[in-house]
Amino acid sequence: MIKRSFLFISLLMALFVSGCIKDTYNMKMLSKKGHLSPSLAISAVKGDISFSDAVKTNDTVVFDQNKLVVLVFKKDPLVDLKLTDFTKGTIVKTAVIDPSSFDLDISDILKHINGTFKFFSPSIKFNYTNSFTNPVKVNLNITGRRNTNTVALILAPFTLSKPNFPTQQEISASYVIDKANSNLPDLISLPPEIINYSGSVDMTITTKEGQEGDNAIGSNRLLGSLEVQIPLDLQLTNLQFADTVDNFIKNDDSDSEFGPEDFQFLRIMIAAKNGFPLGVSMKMSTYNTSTKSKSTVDATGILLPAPVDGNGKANGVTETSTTIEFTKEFFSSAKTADKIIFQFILNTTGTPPQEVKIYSDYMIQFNAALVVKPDINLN
Amino acid sequence: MTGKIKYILILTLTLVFVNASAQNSQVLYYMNLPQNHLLNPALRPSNSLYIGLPVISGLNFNINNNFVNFSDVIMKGQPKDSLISFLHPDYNVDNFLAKIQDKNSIEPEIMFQLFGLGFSVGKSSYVFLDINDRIEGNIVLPKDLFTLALKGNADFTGSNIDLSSLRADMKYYREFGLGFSTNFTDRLRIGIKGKLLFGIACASLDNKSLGITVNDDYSHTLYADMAVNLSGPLTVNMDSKNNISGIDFDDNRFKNSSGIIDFFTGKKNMGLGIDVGATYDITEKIVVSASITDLGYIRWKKDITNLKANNTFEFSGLNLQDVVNGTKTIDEVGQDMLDSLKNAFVVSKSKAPFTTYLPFGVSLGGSYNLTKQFSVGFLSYSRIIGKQIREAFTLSANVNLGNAFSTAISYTAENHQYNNLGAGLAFRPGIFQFYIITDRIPVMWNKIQDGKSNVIIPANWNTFNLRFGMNVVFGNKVKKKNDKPMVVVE
Repeated sequence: MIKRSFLFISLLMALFVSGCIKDTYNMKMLSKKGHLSPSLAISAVKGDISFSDAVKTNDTVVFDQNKLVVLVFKKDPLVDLKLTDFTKGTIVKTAVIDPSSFDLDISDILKHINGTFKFFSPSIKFNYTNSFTNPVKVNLNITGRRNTNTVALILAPFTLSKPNFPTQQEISASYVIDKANSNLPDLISLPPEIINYSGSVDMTITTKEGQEGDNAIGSNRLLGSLEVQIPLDLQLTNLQFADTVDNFIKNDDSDSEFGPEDFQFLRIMIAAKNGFPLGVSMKMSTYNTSTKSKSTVDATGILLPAPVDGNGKANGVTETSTTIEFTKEFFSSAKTADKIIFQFILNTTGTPPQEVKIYSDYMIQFNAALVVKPDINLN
Repeated sequence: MTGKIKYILILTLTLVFVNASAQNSQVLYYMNLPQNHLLNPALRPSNSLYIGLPVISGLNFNINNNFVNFSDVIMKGQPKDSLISFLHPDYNVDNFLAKIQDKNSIEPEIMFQLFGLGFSVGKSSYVFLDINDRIEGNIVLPKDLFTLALKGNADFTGSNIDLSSLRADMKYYREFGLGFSTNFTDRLRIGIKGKLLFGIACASLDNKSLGITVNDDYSHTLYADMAVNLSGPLTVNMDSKNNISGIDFDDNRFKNSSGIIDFFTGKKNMGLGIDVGATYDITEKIVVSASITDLGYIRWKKDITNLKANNTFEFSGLNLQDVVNGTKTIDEVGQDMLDSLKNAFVVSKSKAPFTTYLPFGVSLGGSYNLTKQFSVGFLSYSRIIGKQIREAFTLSANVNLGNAFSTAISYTAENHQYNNLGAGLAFRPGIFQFYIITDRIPVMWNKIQDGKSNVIIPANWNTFNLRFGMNVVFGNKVKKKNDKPMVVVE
């Protein structure tokens, strides 16, 4: 009985196993290739950022009483004249302001900028302390220089206030140079890297011989400084900021198993409510200096400018939704490129762009999400 | 990798990749075996006495999943005879995901009989005593989890990654069952078995809600309300911020025999269970039956650790305001976010007793005796696991030649699988009764080659179920009509 039963079971097993082989899997032929390509999306960054959050007041940037943003550059002292600096003339004595210059320290920025922009209400304050009792007239020759381009201030000589001797020993006052009395807006809109200045100071002797008061003693002095004030009341037309940096996308780590070419795409989705009357477009290009080949991602209209009122002040926000897509081709070119070129294009509100004012309480509200599809090699 | 290890892996994969069933031994139901009272306590064998010896009398293995087969994971590629995995670049992973169910379960189960005793009392009654060790697992993986892992979260934009069906439950317990069956009328036979349950170890995930909402702007809302209950020789270590820093296995208690015995014979985790069943002879040839089995619970009190997390966390991007302000670096902002996430889901640890309920089964059957030796039957078996129901419907042809030989061939439809042929065989040389039963006989096979070695595995194995053992049996009382056995034999 036992033998028969075992025979029966064995027969059944043999029939099942040998008679119905569906497929044969040769494990030596199993490919080791494996990959995953998930689409990952995440809200990456966000912010409600005002101008005053991004830029704090300092020596160069100040917010006036109306919160208008003003750039300030100072040259102190510009002149420091004593009586001995004047010539020995009998009626008109003249002192020379030696040619000199001051650097606005914006050349690094200006190297990357082209396009047209215009500042509408810049001013220069000539701040002085004068203890000469005779009338003093200043003749300033100021030019702004950017590369080989120069623009002259074209300023008529001006007379300084004098102290009311003997009750007043010296007087401190300012003389304002602006678009009403000079070519200053054109000079500032150059914009200048360096401001060159020279000139002279004429003192007309009005007192009788031997009655020059303190002037004869020689302790009188004229101290003067310049303060360039540039309110951000401006117009930008295709103002381009371009910069070339080393290719930071390329993965130089040979040990790393993941490189930029392993992305099918990377999408940056930006939603913004822009309260600035400035529109921004962006381009990003990989560049191979050997082959001159270039691959560009174009994000035109990434931010559209806010509307403005009749005074150029923003009176609303403009909402934008932009998708910047970095494709597999872009990442492939990044593998061989040695440089990355960034280009930002700014325009003020309107077509053509119009005059706008930048206030410190302007705000931009944004969030940026990333959608990335990597090719993860599991080999 | 050596060949043996590779084959073990292949077999393991195969076992994992068999599809889900109602996890029972449907074939056993109509066989003349003492073990059939496990499915319906009203059933009784024809012998007057049986003794089940430790381990060898009954071993039952089940492992199931309801989503993929081996051939869904490794398949034919190009060129001919080459093999690729579902992660191969040439394979569309969407095809793999299409086979994934909303709820994908893996249910391993092992039962071995430590002792069994059954004997006739009077003309119609039968008393039985069982001691069984049972290891049961139930892991449910939601489809969204697979989609998230393989396709990422972008496809969920504007919707919810619902992981609330994620479940993991594994318990090891011992059951002491004492029952009897008797004829209440000439036609009606009722059986009942009470069970005392002693839990040995348990890990149970109580998942009330878990998910991630991916909003249209790709911000994410994570929510979780879940608890992990552990009963076992484990120590969960927490750091000062209540984050889990490690889990240590307490192996000291197993360094001497008393510790081992104490672990395996502990009485602190006690529970109760019950099986009830009935058969009714409509005519001499037609018998219907019904039963509810494994209705019960275990209250776990020993070596308890409860870990709970309940909160919601919203991530809408790193706020750059502080970076622009200059008060923080981007790294600090990122770290703040991670800290917030950790703090949102701080795990609270406690030692509160908890209760787990057994998956229970409901059987409805009917048989028609064509002759005294040959019958045909149907059996509907439903297994209820929490909110899940597994349903199987079996047709069988049964031959019972007294106590000497019993065999059955079955066809089972379950979980949308309709190609399940099962078979059981029992024979009795002398006082020894051998049996082997499976609900699924693989009719198609795949041959796995690795050089000179070959392994044969089922091509489309929907369930792995195997029950076998050896009983010591005496007598054969079914000749008496008033015994009213479920299976009428000579």
